Amino acid sequence: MRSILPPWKARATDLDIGIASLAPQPAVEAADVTRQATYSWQWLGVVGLIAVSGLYVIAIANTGARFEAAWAEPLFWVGLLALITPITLRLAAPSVPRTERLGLVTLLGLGLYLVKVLHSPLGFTYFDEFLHWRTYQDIVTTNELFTKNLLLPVSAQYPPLEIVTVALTALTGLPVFAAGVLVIGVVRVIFVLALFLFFERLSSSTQVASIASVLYMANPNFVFFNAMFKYESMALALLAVVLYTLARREGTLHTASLLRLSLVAGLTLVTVVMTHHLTAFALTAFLGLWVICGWVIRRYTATGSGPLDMLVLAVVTNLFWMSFVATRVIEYLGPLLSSAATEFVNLVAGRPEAPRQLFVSATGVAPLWERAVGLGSVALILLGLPFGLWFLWRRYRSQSAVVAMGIAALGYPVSLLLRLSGKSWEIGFRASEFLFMAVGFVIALGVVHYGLPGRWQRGRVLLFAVAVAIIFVGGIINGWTRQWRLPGPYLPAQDTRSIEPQGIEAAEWARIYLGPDNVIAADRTNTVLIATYGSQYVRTTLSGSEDPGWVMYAQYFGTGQRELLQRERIQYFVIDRRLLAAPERAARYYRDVPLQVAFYKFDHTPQVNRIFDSGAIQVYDVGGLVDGR
Amino acid sequence: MDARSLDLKLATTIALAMLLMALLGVTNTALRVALGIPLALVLPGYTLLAALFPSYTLRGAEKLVFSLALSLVVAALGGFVLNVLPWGFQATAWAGLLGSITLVASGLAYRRRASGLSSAGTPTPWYTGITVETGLFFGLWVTVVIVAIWVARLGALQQPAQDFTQLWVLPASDTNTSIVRVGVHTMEATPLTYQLEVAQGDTLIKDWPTILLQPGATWEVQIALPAALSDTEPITVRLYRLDQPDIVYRQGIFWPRR
Repeated sequence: MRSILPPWKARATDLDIGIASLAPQPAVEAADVTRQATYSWQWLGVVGLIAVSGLYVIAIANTGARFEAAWAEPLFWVGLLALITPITLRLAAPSVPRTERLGLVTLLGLGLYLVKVLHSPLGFTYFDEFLHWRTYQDIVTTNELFTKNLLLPVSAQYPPLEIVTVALTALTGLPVFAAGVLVIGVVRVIFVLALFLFFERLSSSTQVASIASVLYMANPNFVFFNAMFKYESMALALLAVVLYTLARREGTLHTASLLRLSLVAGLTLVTVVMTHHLTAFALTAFLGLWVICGWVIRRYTATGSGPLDMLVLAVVTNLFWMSFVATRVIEYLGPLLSSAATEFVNLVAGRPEAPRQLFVSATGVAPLWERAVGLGSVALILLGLPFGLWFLWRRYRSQSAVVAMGIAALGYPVSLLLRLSGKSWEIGFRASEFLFMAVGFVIALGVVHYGLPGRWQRGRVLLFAVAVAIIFVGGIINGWTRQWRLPGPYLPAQDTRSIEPQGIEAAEWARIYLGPDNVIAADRTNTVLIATYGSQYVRTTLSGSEDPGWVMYAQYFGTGQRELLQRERIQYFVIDRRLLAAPERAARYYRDVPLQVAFYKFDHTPQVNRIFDSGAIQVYDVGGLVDGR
Repeated sequence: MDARSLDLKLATTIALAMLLMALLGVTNTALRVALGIPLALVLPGYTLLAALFPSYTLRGAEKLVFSLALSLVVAALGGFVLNVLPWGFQATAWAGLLGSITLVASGLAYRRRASGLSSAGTPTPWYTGITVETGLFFGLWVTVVIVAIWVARLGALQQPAQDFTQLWVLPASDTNTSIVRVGVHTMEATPLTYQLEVAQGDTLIKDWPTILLQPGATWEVQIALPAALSDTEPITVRLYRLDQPDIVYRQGIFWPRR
């Protein structure tokens, strides 16, 4: 086997030699350098201006969507393409300077973050954001970490995102939403830059690095899911920093620099472990793969190694954190992972327990063009992978990290399979934010070395930009429910679309007039509102409580229901009559009890007080049913 | 400090200013935002990086990534330290923790720079080649983004939403259920006149024939319930709009207790 030494290994002796200085340095005059740099900055300025204009178009589309304009959705896609395509076209060119590439990649990463900010510019509206807001509130009100967050108990056991936000609000006096937007914005900058630097380190090519970064951003979770105020968003960015630092360390021979880089990587790794469970597990798994690849490669060549020390650190800190702090994580993830694993076996055998229909949401089947683009994006990725893997084998097979990336990319088809069942789709969905690091990198290798060079280069670049646009749009179609992409009028039981003033005001009323920390049960949307805006205790199965839905959706308050109220010490119910338009939510409790009948009982049962009525929402005091309160 | 350490000087000044502001309880938001954001998200990482890698050739994107990431790491790990200290997560505690780390790291970085550990020369700055024209382009970027956010916020603020009025009926206290608080809060788009009546069955206990409320206004009253009320029938509180007097607009239900 041919041994190929990465270019920096042959020359680097110290960390303190920047990667730019490792590239061949032709003798150029200082004036030429300045002229080239000016030219590059001009390109960045023009391309960037077109891209950010896309954000303005998206803002108009969002506003149109709020007023139910038919043109809003097409305009949203136009804005998104205006943001992505000019940057893709420029990055596909081979002679673009590194600084410009870095600028464009950062601009795209931040621009895509702003797509989410423009969707919800006044406050948190996504379900997961409320879960972490509550953890933040608990830290501020109790002045302690690890208090029980009844919305998502495991969130309180992984608090670094909320700690940083607490620090920012305490120092600046900013409201939590503004602080959250700022923290996730900073996280986004770290993430895209660290990814670029990691890819650059592995490939020794800024073109590969920038294209891989763009392809990563096309993953279904990047635009909305990983832009939310949630622990995963921060952990992913730190994961990328760990990977880059370790890749940087691989090329460092100077002992002191090696130690300092190990310190940075170690501290960041420990923070990842404390920030988010799945990201910590994914990082540990990848480090394991990297080390194994290192061992195998070292048997055949003089090169190749792996970050064994960091793997050990990851395993030890994960075990420590799960044993002594995040004690609920097994209980939280265990059923999800085991169900996905079992269903994966069923899927392979062709007998899934809960087959899932693709492109179907609460508002019906997606239009034909969405289905075509969604499937087209998957097809393009699957088409690109073999070329990248082939080039990786030819050129990089002596580099353990790159080989590990190649193997990780093979997980993508598996994740697609997981999406075909209702029992495993969530794991498949979550996996994409990790797998796309490898997928993006591998495809970028193929694109840069087989796709872009050759005759008809302009045509090739154009074709590549079209392919990236399809992968991007398809990613959003595949990953994000249709009615959540743009804001709009209230929809019942539709997370972000169900957050509106009446629910928020009802929750704030509860905080002011009932006082905080009463035990209140509600539907999914009002549960998060009442727990955050309302500062109340809620009952959820995630927190180990019995499901209050068995009372809320029952025909009457029977003995079983009253006992459940007693056991869970439930004092109040929030009833949202708009749910009558989404009766399927209640059907899983009592198939034969219509929602109207279930709600009717609250007004016609002695000792149940209707203490609040705002039209759509009522609050009932059921304390009199169980203890004569 | 020499000219090469202006960055450390600035970091030290911000950390000291923030410490002082926290100790004096300065509440000026603009000042707190201007100094608090760098202290929370940039300076601890930046100065630690400067102490660890005093050379100037770790630059541009790498420096930015490590500075920001280390700042998050420092704040996150620092939070665990504050959790076991008696001061908790107050502004003074944060300013003390992050300010101290910034000051100590700045000192170390300065010493390492001064002792010549940064052997490499100053590299070509990342901003080489930026002209007035390109600067204008970046100014336009920022303007477009600000306008986009403004449009999005305006759209969100003006989004049509259902107008509503809140009615509530609560015991005046946990111990005294013979007095109830009845309140109305309107979030309607226009001023509305309401009628409110409190009754048990067909027996009217009290009524308010006209309550005029402006948008956003609240009206509240306490009612002493008669002693002779039946406890087998609820008290109903009905709110009507005078423009739709035949429709019960909002309703509260309250069971008297003995």
